[in-house]
Amino acid sequence: MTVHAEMSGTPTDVGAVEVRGLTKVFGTGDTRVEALRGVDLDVRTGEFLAVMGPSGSGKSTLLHLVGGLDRPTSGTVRVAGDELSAMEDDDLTLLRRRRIGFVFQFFNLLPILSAAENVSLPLIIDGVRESEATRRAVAAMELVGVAHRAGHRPGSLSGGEQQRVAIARALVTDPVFLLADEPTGNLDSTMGDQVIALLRRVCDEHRQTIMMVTHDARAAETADRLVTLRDGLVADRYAPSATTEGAADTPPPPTDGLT
Amino acid sequence: MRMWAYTFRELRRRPGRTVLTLLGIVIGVAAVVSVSVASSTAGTAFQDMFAAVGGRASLEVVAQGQGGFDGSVAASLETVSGVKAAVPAVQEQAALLGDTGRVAVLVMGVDPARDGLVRDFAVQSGAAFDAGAPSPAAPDSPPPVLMEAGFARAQGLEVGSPVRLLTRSGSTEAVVRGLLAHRGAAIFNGGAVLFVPLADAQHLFDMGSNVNTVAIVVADGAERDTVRTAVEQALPAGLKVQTPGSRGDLAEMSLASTQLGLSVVSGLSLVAGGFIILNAFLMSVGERRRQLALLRALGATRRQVTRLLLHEALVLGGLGTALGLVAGVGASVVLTGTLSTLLGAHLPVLQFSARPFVIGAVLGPGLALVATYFPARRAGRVTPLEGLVGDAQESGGDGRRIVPYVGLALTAVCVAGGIGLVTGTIRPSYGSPLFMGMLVGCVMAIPLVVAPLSRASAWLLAPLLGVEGRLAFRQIDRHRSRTSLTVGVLFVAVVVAVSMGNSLLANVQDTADWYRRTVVGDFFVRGVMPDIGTNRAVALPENLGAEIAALPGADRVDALRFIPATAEGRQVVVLARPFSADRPLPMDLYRGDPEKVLAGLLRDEVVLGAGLAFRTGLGVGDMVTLQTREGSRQFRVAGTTTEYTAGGDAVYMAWDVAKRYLDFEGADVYMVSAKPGQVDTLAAGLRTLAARDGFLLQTMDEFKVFIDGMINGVLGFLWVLIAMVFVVASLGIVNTLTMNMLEQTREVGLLRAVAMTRGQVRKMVVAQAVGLGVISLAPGAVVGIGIAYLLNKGSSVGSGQPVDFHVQPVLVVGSFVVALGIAVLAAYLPARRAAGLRIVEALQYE
Repeated sequence: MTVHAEMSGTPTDVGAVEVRGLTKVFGTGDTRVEALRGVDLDVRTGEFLAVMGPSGSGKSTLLHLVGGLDRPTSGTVRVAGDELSAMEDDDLTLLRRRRIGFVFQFFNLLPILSAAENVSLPLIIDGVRESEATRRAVAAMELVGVAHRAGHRPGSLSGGEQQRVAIARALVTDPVFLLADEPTGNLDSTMGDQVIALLRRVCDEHRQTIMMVTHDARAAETADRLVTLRDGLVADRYAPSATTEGAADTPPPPTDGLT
Repeated sequence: MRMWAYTFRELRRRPGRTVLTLLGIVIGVAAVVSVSVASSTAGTAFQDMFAAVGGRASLEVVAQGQGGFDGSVAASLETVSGVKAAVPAVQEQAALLGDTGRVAVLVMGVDPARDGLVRDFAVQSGAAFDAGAPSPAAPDSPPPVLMEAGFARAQGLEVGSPVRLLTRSGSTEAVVRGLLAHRGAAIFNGGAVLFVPLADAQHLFDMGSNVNTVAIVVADGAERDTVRTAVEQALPAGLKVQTPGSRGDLAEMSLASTQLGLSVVSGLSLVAGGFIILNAFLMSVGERRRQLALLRALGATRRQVTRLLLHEALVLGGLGTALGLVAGVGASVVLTGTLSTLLGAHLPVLQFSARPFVIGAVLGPGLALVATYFPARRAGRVTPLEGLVGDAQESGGDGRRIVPYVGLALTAVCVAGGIGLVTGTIRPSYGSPLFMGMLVGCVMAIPLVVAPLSRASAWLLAPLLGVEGRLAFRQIDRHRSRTSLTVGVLFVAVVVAVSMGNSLLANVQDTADWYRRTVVGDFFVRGVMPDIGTNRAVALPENLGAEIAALPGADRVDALRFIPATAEGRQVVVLARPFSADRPLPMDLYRGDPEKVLAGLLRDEVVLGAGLAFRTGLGVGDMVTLQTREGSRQFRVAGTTTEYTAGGDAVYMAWDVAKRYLDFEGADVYMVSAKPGQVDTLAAGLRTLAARDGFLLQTMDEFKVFIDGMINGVLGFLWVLIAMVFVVASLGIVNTLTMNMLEQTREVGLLRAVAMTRGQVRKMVVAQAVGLGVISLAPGAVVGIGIAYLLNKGSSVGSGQPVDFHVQPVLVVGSFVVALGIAVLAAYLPARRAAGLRIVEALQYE
């Protein structure tokens, strides 16, 4: 597929994301909160990683830092070898534009643009010619199965369709990896399953690296690996086959989580 | 899709806000263009008119006082080097008494044999003057007249029609010989110019063989100024050289203070417009924070987001400019019409030059860009995290905290400048930028006073507004920036209303006081209503005064003559009138003891208009140099007086003193007082005389109506401007309340869920509007009164003529009432929307 042409030569043993000693502190004095207290994490190319944890465990903060949306208090984040903390704002912005795709819980589509225009938006921002941007947007929409709704505005799309459009937008720039923050959080179970299945397919067929934050155990089961955060630290790393109902809150025995 | 498409769709998505922003630009551009066009039209209108009448003559010789002199001087002037032709003429005012009414006309007595060297006459129908006609004309035959065709048509005249003219020799009948095309000398004052043979003009105006003008045509290649100097040296005492257009200089001076006022108005409109745009764009950035954060998350740089907003500003700037230019042309028609009424003259078709339109074209987008700069920068600083968590984070907040203090500093500097204006150390021309700066500074500093004013207002209104009011003020307090912006919009409206209104009303009151003191009489007899710009009037026969005095019921008859003269090298108007030791001084004295001033006037001394005294630096006891028919002469200044004639460049002189030193015949107006209880008797006699001789008779009440009509025209323009500013302010409030309500949707849902009725929700919204209004009133009134004071003192310094400063309580209270009313009206739609929210949807609103 054209969307992932750049992926074909990527070696699987090169880490897409490397996190070392990541901390994030909010506020000072009485309001001081340590959201992350030293997280180490690797995400391999082509891996589908799920991050779970109770509310306040720091999983969203981890996602924000990995996506270059916020800066750590200490520690490092490397995306495809580039260290984020050393980057200026414009460089981080370019990184988000070209190397990271975002999928949000509430879709975050611009209501005044059509589905196709929403998908092509990152390319337009990057200065890609309009015709080329449209072509790539259509290809991305075909991949996710919403090309027939290209001309519709978000207001006339169902929740599942909107999330698919959001996924297409995330994929259109051939990102190094895709960050999904509770992608099924605003969908019913049927639509949620469809979206997770789509992410799985994209990962399998196109070796797209995906890091997904979720509360949904069923969604987490489709991942290659599950990382649980608790109180700002990685609680354990284990393969999804060991996950049972409610296991996100009850840590299983630790194993070597990198395989 | 290009980012431009995003821009246009965003503008269409919020039509109300787009219209509001456009309005801000339109107001600013229209104000600048209309004032500029009207000022340039009026400013040079009179000079251009007189220059056109002068034809090819670039110089003319007139007497000091513009009386008659021996026409043989023309022959001697033709021997001066550089003079191609020196052609004698008569140029006088008359009244044309037609079926359609009485019209002031300029009568040009021209030498048919030689005037072709000066002027061309394009005769459309009828015939031109016969160059070989006998001179002087036969006394019994009506003099032939050439007049402009359009003017003739308007008067119901055609070739061969009789024309009744009123001049200082009385009423005379003439006949239309020919009709002229509307060009050259015939364009004067909308065609209100008649050409008669010189001899007939001399007869009409009782001048014997004298003329009052010699037109000088400069030879090709000769320098005008060199020729002027040579001609001056060849002239006998009592004559001077001037350009034909300089007859319009007095009008320019009369207009000066009006133009200054208009420039202040246009400056304030610009500030108001810019602020409205700033308000609208800040609202827009606030509402689109999430979208802008999303763009940042998707990889738009700060610069790209900033440019997006600036693109929107440019689009609106371009569109608003186009609309503003059109509106400006329309407003300039209205403004020019108002100036025409004020000056009592027919101003020409609008004088359009490129300048106002170039300024407007730059100003519109410029205003939009300047006003959008900070919102655009703020938009660029929106953090990407907002796209995810809806957190109102924004980096770089220090800049915002500094702004109020910068505003305070700017206000302080401008206040200091205003004090300099008052003390005369700063020129009046800096007034407009100073007031603009003051207004901008105050608006920037508003956040410093919002919190205490909000608390005070909450305390004041709590008993009236109850729990809804408490909730309303909490919301106002929660969004300090937004509250400050909206308060700022209303503040600007109140300041404009109070300052401009107070200033203008003070001037109107002062003018009325002046008229009451100086215009004394029960009846006024004149040829036509005077042209206030140049004070040209139709001179009435001097023996008419005696005839009026002999009428039953007549107590006193005072003649008054306006004589153009030169004092201290300036064009002035000498007001010649009789003074008597047994009557109070008919003046609004500024300096000088009334008894001593009266005695001085009877002793050949003069009284200067306060403006003239200020501009020449002369005071009581000083000597002023006047050009008389005997040359320069000095007169002692007995006092100075408030005077609105010729913008204050006036000199009062006793009638016989003026007769002795200045050459004039006739009176411009007779002020007639009746004996007690005999007003009606006198009126009957005067009406008979008026019917016989054709002069204009006015009662004091009719005269006051005329003056009030002129003043009301100017006031009407002001009230329209103030109304516009208030209307736009109301749109700003609608904007704010809508934003507040959007943000409070969940809270409103909650309040409805816990049993607040729809009526209570409406009351809460209205309470917010009232709160915003009340917060803006105090600073608006204080600053408005302050600016009014500075305007008053500044214009007094600029004109040399003090105007008493009074706070107009009705105006201040009226502005309060209007501002509150506007606020409540503006709350209507947001209140309706809030009250109509569906509870479940509102509770789930994100």
